[in-house]
Amino acid sequence: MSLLSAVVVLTSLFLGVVGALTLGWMLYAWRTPEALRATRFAPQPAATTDVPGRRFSLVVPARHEDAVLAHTLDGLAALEHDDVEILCVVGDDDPVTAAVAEAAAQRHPSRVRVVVDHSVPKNKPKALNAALPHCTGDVVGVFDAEDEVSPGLLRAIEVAFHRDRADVVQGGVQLMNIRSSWWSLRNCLEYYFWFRSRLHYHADREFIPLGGNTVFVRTELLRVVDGWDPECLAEDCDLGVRLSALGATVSVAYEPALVTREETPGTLRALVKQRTRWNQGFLQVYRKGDWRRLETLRQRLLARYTLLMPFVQAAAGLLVPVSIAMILFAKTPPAVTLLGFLPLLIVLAGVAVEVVAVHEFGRDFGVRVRLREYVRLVLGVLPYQWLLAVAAVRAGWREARDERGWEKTEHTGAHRDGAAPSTPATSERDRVTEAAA
Amino acid sequence: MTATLFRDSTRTIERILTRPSAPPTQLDPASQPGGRRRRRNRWSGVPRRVSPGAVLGVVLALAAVSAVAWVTARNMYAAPMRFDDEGTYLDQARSLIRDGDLSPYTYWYDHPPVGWILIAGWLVGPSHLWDAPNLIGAGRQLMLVVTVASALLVYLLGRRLGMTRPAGAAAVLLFGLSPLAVSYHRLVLLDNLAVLLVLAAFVLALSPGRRLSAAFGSGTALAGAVLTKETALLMAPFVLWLLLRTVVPATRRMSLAVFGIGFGAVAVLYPLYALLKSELVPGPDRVSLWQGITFQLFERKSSGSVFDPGSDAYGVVTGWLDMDAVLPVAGVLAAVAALAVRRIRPVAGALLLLAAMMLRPGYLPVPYVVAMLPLAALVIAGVGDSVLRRFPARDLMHRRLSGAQLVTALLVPLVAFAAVGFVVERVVPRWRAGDRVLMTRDQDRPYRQASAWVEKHVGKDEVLLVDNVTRTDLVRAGYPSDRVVWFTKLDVDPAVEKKHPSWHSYDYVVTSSVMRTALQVGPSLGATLERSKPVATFGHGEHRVVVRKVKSQ
Repeated sequence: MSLLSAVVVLTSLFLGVVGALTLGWMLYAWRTPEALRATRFAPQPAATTDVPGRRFSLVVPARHEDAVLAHTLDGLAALEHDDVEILCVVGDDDPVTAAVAEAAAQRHPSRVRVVVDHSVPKNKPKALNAALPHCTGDVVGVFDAEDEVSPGLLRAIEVAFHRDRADVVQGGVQLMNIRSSWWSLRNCLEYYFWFRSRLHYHADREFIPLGGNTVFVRTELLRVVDGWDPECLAEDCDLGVRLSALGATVSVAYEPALVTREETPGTLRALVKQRTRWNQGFLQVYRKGDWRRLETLRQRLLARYTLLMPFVQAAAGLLVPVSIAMILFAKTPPAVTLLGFLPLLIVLAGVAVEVVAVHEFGRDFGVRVRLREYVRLVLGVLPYQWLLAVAAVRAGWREARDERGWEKTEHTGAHRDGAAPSTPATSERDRVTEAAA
Repeated sequence: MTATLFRDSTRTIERILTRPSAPPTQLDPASQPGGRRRRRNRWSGVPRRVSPGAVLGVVLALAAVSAVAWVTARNMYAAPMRFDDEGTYLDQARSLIRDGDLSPYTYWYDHPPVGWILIAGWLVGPSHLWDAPNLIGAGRQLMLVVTVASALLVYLLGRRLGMTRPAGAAAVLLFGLSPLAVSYHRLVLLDNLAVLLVLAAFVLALSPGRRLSAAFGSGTALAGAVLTKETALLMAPFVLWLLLRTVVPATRRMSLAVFGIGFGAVAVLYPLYALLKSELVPGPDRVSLWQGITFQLFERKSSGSVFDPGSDAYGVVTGWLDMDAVLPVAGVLAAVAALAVRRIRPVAGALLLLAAMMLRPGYLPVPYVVAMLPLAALVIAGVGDSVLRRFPARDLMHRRLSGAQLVTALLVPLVAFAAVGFVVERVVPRWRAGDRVLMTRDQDRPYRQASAWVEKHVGKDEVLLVDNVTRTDLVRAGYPSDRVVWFTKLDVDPAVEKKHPSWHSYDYVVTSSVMRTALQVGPSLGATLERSKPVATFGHGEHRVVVRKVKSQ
């Protein structure tokens, strides 16, 4: 076999395996009708007395969020549950947002409190840690300042804690604005597959990178592990990895009526920036190595693969054009060339699955999906893949550069970008940051 | 960083974590993953807890399949006599192994290649563990394995179509013991491989767990069948019918998409291969996939009407019915009745479509019947099963029947009795006689003797014109592949013509019945035969094999 053939075979196998794994995890929730049903919240019991009551402490870190915060806090205050406190964390350098939070606290004196974060520089995990000592609930839940939370969510979460004897419950988060731009539909679909399917796979394998909001952890456990890592760019993922390593029981549920609704980043630049931080955070978590304490080899392999996904993604994004070029121009034996088509076939298979998913999304959320969206979906496959590759390369480059004087660069980086991002819900903050920049 | 992981001792963590091992307080067991659902075997979908019925099922299925395996295996190298097509597929498989080409001659898209790719896989691997008297014998070993696997799938398919265990076992016996079936199942035919894959597609489409992976597997199996034998495409609507019947609304779209992905991913490889070789559409001096398909569909010589006693089609069909009329005829009759039975209607429809396709004027391949055999077996067993189930035993016992019900109650045992009588009196003796011939006679001896004679008397530098049975024997014995020429390539393949330009390029001709009936293939074969005289004859009548020496100029 010639060198060229070997290159084609190896490239195809690499892309084929990566693509097949991704596709398999995208479809995980649909593997049987029973499995799909099990991804939802359990039906509420007829008598609420069957479930022991839990007190919820909902933490809302807010930084330069005065435009949306009032609405969010009003929504949280209106949640259908008897025993809730809402702690809005504002920075000591952000009087505008603080004023909005104070006003909300006065409107809902029994539910909303304001916690001031004095840390320097500010970021989301530090804000969360600032609130932790003030939490009086059995369960701490995290929401972002722009979240639209379903009124019935907490009851379902309470049942999930009880039914699954869970330490952690992760609810669904869904981007909704499929029509805003050519890539917004793809961004929404990513969330759809991640929360509807992929996270269930992670929960079943007992290794899970948690989401940045609509995530609920038993307060006692959160205090034992010292809360969130204040220096991590993906504090949510990090918390999930650490809790998985301890053997915590995580329950994941996706119910269209109960998902927390968000919007995509406002601009393409903001999307790339958000994704860069997400990727960089994953790399940080990888290097911290808490995942090495996971019990089984399979879990550790899954952890490696998941946390290194940015690099895999970058490689895939760059190799796809190479693979296409080789199909078109390289003279290799027919069998080798046929294998060269494997990545393309998997991409097409992915598009077919996405088309079905968009239809299901439209039905689940009552959104009319027009022909235009389907066309964008199909045409956007490779550009979006390259976008992700750019973000991944950018993350790798920044992370490598940060290695010299990690702490200092990290701090200035966090300072420059405003609050450190969470994954995946940072849209509004990104927009604010973008506007400020 | 790990310091933050364990601020307290491990024991504290242990105390704080909710251990999943603690007995869960169930609110709604149905909604709990793994709650009320019984654990199921992931392959068959059969509940894992072993019940007496399941044991009975395994025993019945194994007994039926073993019977089929035994009857198929015994004497399989010697009967029926090997024939040209078997040699062709093995020759192509060997060419694939040795040279990486899909044919030792120019591959002209006469058939899609998955069949002999599978045969090549068998020859490369498992075949080495099992001695065979000749290359076609090695292929027949694979056919035995395929028949056993198909028999198992017939049972599984019967069960998934809602038949009782005895009915499933009966279907296996019908499928595997008819002399017609035994005869064709032994032959190295693409149809046998395609049938296996179609059965797999049916079985997977009926996944009791409605697994997405089963829908994917069903699509790939169906595409594999189509790329083994194009006629398998006729089964596609029926596979889809069963799949649509299996899926539930929640996962219907995803299942169909995944089925389509599985089918498309495999099926596309064939036109893609042709495209890569610039052989998708016709052009000057090249073969093409397009021509291959149009040849199969339109240009092949029509076999005439099955109702015209002088036609080839009539000969083909009577040839089948001479071996066994019961399975095909009862199958088609039962299929008409089975249209009234919802559970087996798709299978009956598939069988009736295959039967109807025979009536159209066009080319009727001799092994066409192979695809009908498992469907006929299932439909007969299924109809018998549902007739017996109509018998209102319990109501009869409690004497609460209307007039019409009473008539049914009396009719069912009557019909059953008649059927059993027919089977015992007519079917069993005939099948036993037919199978005995296949299990004892050495019908292949003329071929073996002819090959042995050639090996003894003809030098390896001489050029021979042969059919593909003799060719596989001689190439295996060390004769150079390009000096043992397959007769159908005369006047057709430019490469052969270049190497051996006319009749006097050949030293010997070994004729068999297929060569004698195919004289019209081209003038060169006739010319060569004319200028040759027999030097050794083996066997008699139609099946004799004759070695002829071509006169030197």
